[in-house]
Parts: sequence; structure tokens; C-alpha cells
Amino acid sequence: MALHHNQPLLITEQLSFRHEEVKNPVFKNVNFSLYPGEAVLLLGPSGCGKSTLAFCLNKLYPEAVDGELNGTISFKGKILDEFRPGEINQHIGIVFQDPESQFCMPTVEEELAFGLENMKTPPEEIESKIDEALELVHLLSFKHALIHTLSGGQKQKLALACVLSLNPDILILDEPTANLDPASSYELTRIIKELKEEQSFSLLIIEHKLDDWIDLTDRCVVLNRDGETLFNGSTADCFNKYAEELTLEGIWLPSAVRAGLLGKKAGIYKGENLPLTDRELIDGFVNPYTALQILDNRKTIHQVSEEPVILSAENLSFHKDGKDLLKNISFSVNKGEFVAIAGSNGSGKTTLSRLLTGLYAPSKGNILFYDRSLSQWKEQELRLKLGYVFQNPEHQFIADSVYEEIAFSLRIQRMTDAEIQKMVEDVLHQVNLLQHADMHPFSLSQGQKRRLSVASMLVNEQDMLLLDEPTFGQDARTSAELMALLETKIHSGGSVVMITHDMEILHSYADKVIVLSEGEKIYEGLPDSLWKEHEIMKMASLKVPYTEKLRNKLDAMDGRNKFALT
Amino acid sequence: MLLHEFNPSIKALTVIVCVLILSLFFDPVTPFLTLVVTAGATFIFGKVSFKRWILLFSPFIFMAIIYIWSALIFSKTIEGETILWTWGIFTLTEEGFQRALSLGMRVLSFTSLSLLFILTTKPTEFLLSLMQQCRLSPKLAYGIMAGYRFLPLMKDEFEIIRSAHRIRGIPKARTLSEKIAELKRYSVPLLAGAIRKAERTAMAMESKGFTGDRNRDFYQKISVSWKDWAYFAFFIGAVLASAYISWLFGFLQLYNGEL
Repeated sequence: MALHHNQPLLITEQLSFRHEEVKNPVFKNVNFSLYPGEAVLLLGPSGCGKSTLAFCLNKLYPEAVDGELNGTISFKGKILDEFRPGEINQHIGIVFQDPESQFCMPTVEEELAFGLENMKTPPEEIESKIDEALELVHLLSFKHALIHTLSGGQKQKLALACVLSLNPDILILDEPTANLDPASSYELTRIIKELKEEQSFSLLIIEHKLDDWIDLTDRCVVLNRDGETLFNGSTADCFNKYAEELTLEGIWLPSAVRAGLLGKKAGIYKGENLPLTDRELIDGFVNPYTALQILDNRKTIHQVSEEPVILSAENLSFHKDGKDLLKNISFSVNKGEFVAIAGSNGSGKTTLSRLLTGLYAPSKGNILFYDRSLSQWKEQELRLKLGYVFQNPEHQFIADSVYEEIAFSLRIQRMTDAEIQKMVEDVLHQVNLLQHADMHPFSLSQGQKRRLSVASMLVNEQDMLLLDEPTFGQDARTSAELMALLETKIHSGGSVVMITHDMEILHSYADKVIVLSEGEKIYEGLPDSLWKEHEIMKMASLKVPYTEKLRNKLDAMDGRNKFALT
Repeated sequence: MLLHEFNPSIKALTVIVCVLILSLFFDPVTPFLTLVVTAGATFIFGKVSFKRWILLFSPFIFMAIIYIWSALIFSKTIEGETILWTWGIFTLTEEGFQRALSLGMRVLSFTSLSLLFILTTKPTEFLLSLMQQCRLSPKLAYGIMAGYRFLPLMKDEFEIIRSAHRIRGIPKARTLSEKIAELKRYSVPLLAGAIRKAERTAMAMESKGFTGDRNRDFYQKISVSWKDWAYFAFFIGAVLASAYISWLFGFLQLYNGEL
């Protein structure tokens, strides 16, 4: 598929980048090229330098940081250094991960005009270019909207429009869907796919979750943990030959590949190569339905819990600034239960979690924790029993070192230094961070930050842990480690309430799912029955987990076969 | 004809010149008349609701009252002034009363002029105008604009940091000294967060080809026409007319180091 007969657009030779005052380079000796019209997936575990590489490619680095870039990057045969400031950005555009911090103007129209003005587009042509770019991402009706009123998905579409308006040769996407709910993230990938077919740009995609991207990529480049190239070749080869290595590096595999790999190990997948699509996967199984049972990664057996209720929410409502953010929500959490809260971006999930932890007070209704209203608990006592893990681990850090971060809540309880030291070391050992005890929390890698944020909530052995999308933007390894920690928690009798967009986690772990939509509870029950509620799934922008998707596909295929027979 | 349509830089210049002229006089009537004209213009030609205006204006009324009060109580009595009332060490003279009132009115007239500008000008347009008319460096202007976008985010960030501390078992600050300690604890992460955000935004701006080049063609052109100068002339005229009327009634006084 790759159009190698053309001249490459972008070539890097022996590229290495090192932050000042850090001995090891972020990535080293990266040789890679990007051809016109090609879509390349850049893979690697968290912290391997994918984003850094992307920033170097359009000259944002090393200028924005103190660092040293060795090797050469050339675009259309010209070395990057020879471009005037700002010139290369017209040819190589980038969409960043964080929807909040990539705009500098108040409205959609002004933001687009900003980029076009930078490129010295004649003012009389700007309006038509703005409309054109907005049309491409289906945002034309939001032309005069204020950016901060847009949803996360719309902001990412706007970021895409900003780049597209400059008509770039190369488009770099740096985890554009990391902060989006499943449906918005799927929509974004479909828009990009459409655009890819209509326009001639090359794509460099950095992503963790690959399912939605796999059908539009031609080639994969894989970096390992040390920032060295592990693989550079066709997508099919990448997953066929290196699936095991990728897993070891902690890289997410596309669901079909992962299922194929599992099937192969269990001896039920007969295909010669690992499958890239669902169709290939199904064809490779001798008996797809039995295979489904084996693939099903459910870890818990759902049953009605007979354990006592430890937290119950009664008719919760919450309004702020005249808006009803939550309306009349009731549910309960039993001891040892894993409750998942799902819903689209902005449906009130985070607000609900803040209410449940007592950070906000409900406008109406009551929350009972161990039969006592949250407002009657003393702050310190409550925190010893109820932990909360933020969506963004950085938000949670308040101390200067990893050690102090864990010791913080113990110090409030006025424990002796010896006691503190023992407890901190135990917890750090449990989350595998003991060797980093003296580091500043912010200098940890993404995965380590996540583990630290959870660890700081494990130290008091709280009875209940609330987590706000803890797996977002994490690589496969970190995710697995985190879930293992939570499982231990459950086994020791703790309860977990987790907000998540990850349907696989929901499917595998949750005893109960609560679905929110526009501040209302629209579903409460087992995950299995949720997948059958198509209306609710659609309303809450959810997607079914992979095994369920396969089952539906199989059923559809069977139906078609029967139809063909009769 | 709405006040919003005039050139923001000229509007700002108008406010500055009016304030300078008003500072020359020191009597209660001139600033009072100016106050009436500007407030009237804000409601009629600015379509600003009285509720919104008074909400922003009321803190200054409070300030003016305190000014008047303290000027009354602590005024020095000059020989030959008409004494209205004495009680112990306090002496209230007619001239002292007039001085205090002048001071209060001055505060209020400055406020109403500023509000006229603030309530009828979009920040983006003001910055665009400063770049286009006053040659303000785009680096600075777009920096301010990006910062302006951050303001509401800072509030969220503050809320998040407060929550982070609360979930570790630090109770809500109640006394003043607790609140100061809390503020100290919050300031470092708040600042660190702001710097990180700023860095990201700066990178996003650069990725859109922003170099800070002064040579820039604007999509949204902010121009200056005779109407803008008419606006300027009208308000300067209003201030001068206020002074004239005040003089007709014999109130007008030049500022002569009374304070």
C-alpha cells in the first residue's frame, strides 16, 4: 500500500533528543521517513518519546525547551533549520492531546483566522477558508461560538479544522482522542478517515487505543521503552510478527490482534497470520461462538451482592450557576462491590463523584456513608475511609517528593516517623515506586504518576475508593497494573467506584454499571444487560466491548447466511 | 448607533483625556454633570442594563462614601471658613464639606467613564485595535488574549487544588490564619499549573505558525473614521460643558493642591 516509488516528504536521520540535565536521551537514532499520502502509526509505551519526536518534526522542539537535538530532519529535501520561523508549520500541522490548552482566541472564527493570518493569507480569502475548514469537520454551525462552550470532542474537531485550514502536507495527531468519550473519539477518527480519502495529506498518528485507527494506517513505527526504533514496516507485519514484543513493551494491541493472539495460545485460532480486522478474526476461528466464550475477559461473576451497603445516594440533585447538573439520582454501593459510572463527556459523572466524596454538597438529597450523612463526618475521619483518585494525577500531588506525597496524610494523623516510614515503604513497594522515592512527583512518567496517585489513596486502607477515569491516556501495562491494584482492593473487602469510558474495563470488572446522560441516571444494572439497551447506549455515547461487538457481527453474518440459504 | 461600534483605541483615549481634564477642576458640580452624561450615554447608546451597571458601580459608591466621610472628619479647618457644626475636636465647615463632596464625585465620575469603556468594548477588539492603531506588538497582544482565556480556567484549577488537599484530610480553612496558610499551600501548585498550561498554549500558537512578526494582515480590520473622532469630541465637549455650567452657577474651582 505504501507509495514508496515517490520521494519521501519527510526524512529523519539518526535523530536523538536529550533534555538538558538528563543523561539519557528521550529517543535515539530514529531513522524514519514519511511518504506523500501515507498514514503512519507511531507506537510506543508511555514516556518513550513519541510526543517529543512529533514536536521535533515540526520544529517546536528544541526551541520550546532546553534540550539538544542531534541528527537531521529534512522536509522535501530541505533541512528543517533552513526554514524561516513559522514556515514549516504551514506544511506540518499538529493536533495536540489536551483540548483545553491549544487555543488562544475566544471564538471559533477568530481562532481559525489567527492561524491563517500567521501564514500571511490575504484577508479577503480568509473567510472562505474558515468556512471550508469548518465544513470539513462539520462545525460550520459553530462558527461564531465561544470556544470554551464547546464540548471536548468539538474542541478537538476545531483543532483539526485549524490545522486543515492551512492546507498542510503532513498532519500529526498527538493522541487526539485521549480525553474523549468512545463515541466522540470514533466520530473524530471517521472524520479523519473521510478527509484522508478526499485530500492528499500524510498522517502521523500517535495513539494508545488503536481499534478505530487500524483501518486507515499503512505503516507502523514502534519505539521501545528506551526510545529506540523497534519496528518500522507495514501494519500487518507489525502486529503479525511483533505482537508479543509489543505486549511486553506495554503497547496496546488492536482488539482483533489481541483476540487472535489469545485464540492462538488457546489453540483455537487457525489463521496463518494474526487478524487485523474482525472479519479475519472470525474467519480464523473453527468455531467462533466457542471462541467468544474463551475470549470473554470477564473476571467477576456478577451476582446480587449480599454484603452490607456502605454508601447510598438518595435523590441527589445538584445545581450550579442556574444549571441543573444532576437530577434526582439514587443508588447504593455494597461492600466489596465494583461500581462503574459511564456516560458521555459532560453528562455529570465527575460532578457526581465530587458529591460522593463530599467535596461538593448536594443541592437536594442525601448521601449516607456507613449510615451517616456525609456532612456529619469529620473531614479527617472521612478521608481515612473514603479515597478519591483524580482524573489527572498531577492535580492530586501536593508534596515535593514521592515519599512525602504518601507520607502526607499519615503526618496529618500525627504518626511517628518510624511508623510512617514503614507504611510508606510498604505502599511504594506495592506500586513499584520505591526506587523513585526521592523524585519529584511531576518528574515521573505518565504511568508512574498514575500509580503514585492511587498509592496515596491506598495508604490509609480506605474502605471505599472513587476513581475518575484513571486509565485515560495510559498504556496497556499501566492500565493492567492499575486494575490489578484495584482487584486487590476488592479482594480485601474494599469497594471501588470508577468513572470510565473504557468499555472493556466495564465489561471485565464491574458488578454494577450506572449510566448518566445530561445529569440523569438512565441505567443501573449489570453490564451484560446494558449492551442490549441500544437506546441507552446511543444516548450515553457508549460503544459495546469487543467480544460483544464480535457476537453481534457473528449474529449478523449468521442471519445473512440463513437468509441466503432459504 | 451603538457605543460598541466605535474604535476601541479612540474610546480608551477619550476616557484618559476626560479623566485628565476632570482632574484640573475641584468642585462637586463638574464631575457630577459628567457622571450624569456618561451614565446616560451608557444606558441609552450602550444598551447596558441598569442592573449590570449598578452592580459594578456600587463598590465605588461605597468607596466614595468612605472618602467623603474621612475627608469630613479629618479635614483641616482653615481660618475664615464658615463653620456649620462643631463637636469636640471635630469641626465641619461648608468649604470642607464641599471639598469632601468634590472628592467623592471625582471618584464616581472616573468610574462611570471607565465603565462606559469596559461595558461597551470587547477585549478582543480592543487588543486588535491596539495592534492595528497603536502598533502594540502582536507577541504581547496575543499573549494577553491567551491569558484572558485562562482566567476562568484558573478558577477551576483553584477548585481542583483545594479538593486535592481536602481528600488528604486537611479540613476546610475557617479562621483567617488558616485561610492564609491555605493560600500559601495553594499558590505553588497553582502557579506551576498555570506555567504548564501557558507552555502548552505557547506551543500550540507556535504550531500555528505564530512568530510575533509585526508585519501582519488582519482578518478583522478595526478602522478609525470621522465618527470615532466625533465620539472623542462629544465626550470632551461634555466634560467642558459640565465645567462651563458649573462656572455659570459659580461652583467651578481649579484644583489647587487641596488634598
